[in-house]
Amino acid sequence: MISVNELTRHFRSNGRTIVAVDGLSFQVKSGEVYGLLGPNGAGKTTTLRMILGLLAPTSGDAEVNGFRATSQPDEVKRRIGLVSASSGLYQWLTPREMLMFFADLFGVSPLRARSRLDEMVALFDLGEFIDQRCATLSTGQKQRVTLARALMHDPPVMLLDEPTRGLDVVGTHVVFQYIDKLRSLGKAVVVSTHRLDEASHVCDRMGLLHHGRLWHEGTFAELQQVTGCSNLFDMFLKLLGQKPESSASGAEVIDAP
Amino acid sequence: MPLNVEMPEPIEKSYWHSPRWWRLALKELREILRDRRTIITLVAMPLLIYPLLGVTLQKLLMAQLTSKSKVEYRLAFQSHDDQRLFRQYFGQGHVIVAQRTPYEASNRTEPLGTTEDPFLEFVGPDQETGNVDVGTMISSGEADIGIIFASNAQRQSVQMEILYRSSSPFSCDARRFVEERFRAINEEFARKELARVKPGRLLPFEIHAESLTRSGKDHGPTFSLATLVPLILILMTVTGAVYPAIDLTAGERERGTLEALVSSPVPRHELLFAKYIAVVSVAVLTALANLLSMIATAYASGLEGLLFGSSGLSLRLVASTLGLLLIFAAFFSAVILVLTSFARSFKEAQAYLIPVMLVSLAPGVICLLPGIEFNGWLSVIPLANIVLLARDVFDNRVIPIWALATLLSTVLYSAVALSAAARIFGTDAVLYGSDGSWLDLLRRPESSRQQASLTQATLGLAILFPAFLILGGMTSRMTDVSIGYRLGINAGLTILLFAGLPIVLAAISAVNFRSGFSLGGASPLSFVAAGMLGLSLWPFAYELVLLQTPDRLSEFVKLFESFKTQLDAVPLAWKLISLALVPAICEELFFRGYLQTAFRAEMSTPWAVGLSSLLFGLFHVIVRDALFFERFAPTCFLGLILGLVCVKTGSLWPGMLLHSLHNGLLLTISSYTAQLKAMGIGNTEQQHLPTLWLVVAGTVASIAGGLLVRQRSRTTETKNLAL
Repeated sequence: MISVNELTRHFRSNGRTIVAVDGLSFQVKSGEVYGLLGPNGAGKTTTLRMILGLLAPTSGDAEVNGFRATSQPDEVKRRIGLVSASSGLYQWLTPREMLMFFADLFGVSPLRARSRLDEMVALFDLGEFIDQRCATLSTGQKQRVTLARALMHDPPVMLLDEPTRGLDVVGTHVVFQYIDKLRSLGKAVVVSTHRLDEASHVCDRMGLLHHGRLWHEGTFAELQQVTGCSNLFDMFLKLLGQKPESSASGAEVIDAP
Repeated sequence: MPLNVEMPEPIEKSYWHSPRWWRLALKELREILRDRRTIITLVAMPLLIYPLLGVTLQKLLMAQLTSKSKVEYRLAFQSHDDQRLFRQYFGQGHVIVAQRTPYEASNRTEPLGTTEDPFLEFVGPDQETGNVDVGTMISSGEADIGIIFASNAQRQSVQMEILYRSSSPFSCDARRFVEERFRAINEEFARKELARVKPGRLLPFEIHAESLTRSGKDHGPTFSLATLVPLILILMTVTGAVYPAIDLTAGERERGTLEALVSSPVPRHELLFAKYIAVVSVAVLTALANLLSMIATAYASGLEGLLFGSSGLSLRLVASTLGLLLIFAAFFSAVILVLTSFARSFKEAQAYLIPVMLVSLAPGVICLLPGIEFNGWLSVIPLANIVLLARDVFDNRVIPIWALATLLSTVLYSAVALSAAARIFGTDAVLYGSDGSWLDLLRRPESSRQQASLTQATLGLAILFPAFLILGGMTSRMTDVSIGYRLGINAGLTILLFAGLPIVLAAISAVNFRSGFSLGGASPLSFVAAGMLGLSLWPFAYELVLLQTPDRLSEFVKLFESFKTQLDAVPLAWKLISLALVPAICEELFFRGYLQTAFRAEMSTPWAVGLSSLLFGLFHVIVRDALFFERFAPTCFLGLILGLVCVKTGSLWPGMLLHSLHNGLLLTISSYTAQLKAMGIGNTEQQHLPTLWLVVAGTVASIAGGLLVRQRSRTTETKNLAL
């Protein structure tokens, strides 16, 4: 469902080129949860934005259900649901208005949108506050609306960018349940996080990202075998100790010519 | 690594009843109108500001009036007889008004702040000659009102005309004071007449009041509060637009909803257009609320004459003002959306807007200065043009060409600003703060384009139109330069504007010249067909010109004849180069080459050809400092033919040949009008061409059309090239 091939992205800052993602490749099948793990600045969010077609890659490409993010971004967007920790809600709209608005944006017919809304209300228990202004909702209620928004158009692919950032134990548990639900619905899911405890809990496979480059990939057991570490935390410490050798081997700063 | 390609699943189509951009705009409006900050700007401010301003103005006027020991009205009369008649009846009316009951007296119209009766000073007619020009005395301010009596023998009554200045509150008060007393006589007469057994006699006075305008007299314009009204309304419209513009762009980014929005499969320009509609709607609603509040305040405080100019308050004035505010709101909303789309936060947007607003208001404030006349230069300066046009609407002295120039230039500037905003809105530079800057808008793309974008085409128009208007106007005033040199200068300007400008813009945007201007080759048959059309279209253009009214036709002929007389001194070859060849080649480069090719990439061919022809026609309507709408139809017709020739042949060259031949032939014919008149053509009795000529021309044009239709349309070829 998701196929990332040699994805690379450079940014220019103060006359220098920064390699944010460097030749990244991985695939995610339907019903699989893939964890993109790495410290802050590893290139996780940049990767998700390139898959979504919001950022143009410097080279390489990503495909979603056979559509290329660079040449068919609208078709790609139509098939992706995005949950981001930085996402907000329209303060002056109600959850009902907002969910119907996003259904419309994604080309869902009014009849189907109403039916999806009922499903989302049941799934996330939104009934109590569905007609309340978003500004008046609690943090937990807002989180549930955000999760429902990403599913309104029933996309086959889900991208979750730091979904538990800033959430308490209850909020985090809701996200875990959400990911399990997505897996059971057969969706291809990519979760970007730096919270290693979560990753080992919810992800089927993981990729360890550092300086924009994928260092190790596999199931938790495979990673243990390759790295010789028993837990993700040790794996990370070992990873952070490694420095990129050259521009080809990891993210770094390249002086402008 | 090969990519795993799966068959895409069908996506459900939507079945909403209204277009998507409108549904998006409704959502934006719903959100913004629920925000209490919008409500404060939209409702609370107009409700508070104008009554407060009205009361302040009233107090100010009262203070001025009460500072005088006694109010004194100066009355001018046409003759001593009029003065005598006035004296005879005024006292009678004054007594009736004074004896009225308290209820009736509440309608009395003494000047503001006075309770004592004012003095009446008679300033005319001249004691020696007995004559006076009452109108001049009123408009110059020598008298407050003028009174002219005329007897109506047939109706056995007296016609009373009161002349006054509606821009002067004092003059308006004087008119009300006198008019009320003469109306009181009429009312008293009517009361007595109704008590008679057989009522039937007509009222003794037929009273008419006429307002004199500054423009109607020799005196130049002076400052009046009416000039300030459009600027106040514009300021309030700006206030209405600013908050929604920031909230729907920078605010959305700050709240974290922008990423979710641009992650949807809706083009960014459509999202921005919906926001633009919402901002314009709120701005216009604010303008309407302000206008209504201002009208109500002016009416309640009796200041409508002072605030709404010489014509006073009327439905036409309100509608015109609202129309101008709509155009201004459309322009200003687009401009501020450019700035707010670039901002990454509410504060950043405010920091951009404040200096821009202050700078942009400068031309509007300068236009308040007395003596500023609306002309070609000012009609293309944003904001200044709207303020001046509004001032002229208030004074009822709109000059059509400058009004049209104002509307066209404002629409073009709005289109350019909106296109720029669409390029910025939701880009990664704004969304994620990557290393982007304003210069990105001007940066030359790394890969070349097959044709100019719609934004670049609009930008070309927005630069060309004011430049054409201003530079064209300057050359027409070079009366001390010989006609031959003037033709040369005109040709140079045509090359500079219609060829130089699109070439420079295309070079900046890395547009491929061959495809971007349709400069590919064409078959010999295309040239034959274009040549035949070039020789056969002029009779139809001539007949289309004859469709205009006789008055306009004679005006057109007069202008043409004066120009032709000057041209007689110029050799035919120079005339053909400067007036036929150069305009034909350059106009084809711009209208069919640059514009139509850009339009075709964005819309269907009929729309693209129609739009470029429409613009071609509009540019030809402006002749020196006047508008000749009669030229619109024949030029549009020619533009359509040229556009179709370009589409059918896939090349600009046949169109250039057609255009050159058409222009050259008309010019040559005009050089031999004497010979044509000898044949009976062009005389008053025989204005139309002989039917045989039209039949021959029609046949040739049909054959040429047939040849072109047989040509394979180059549309597909061009589109393939673009890929």
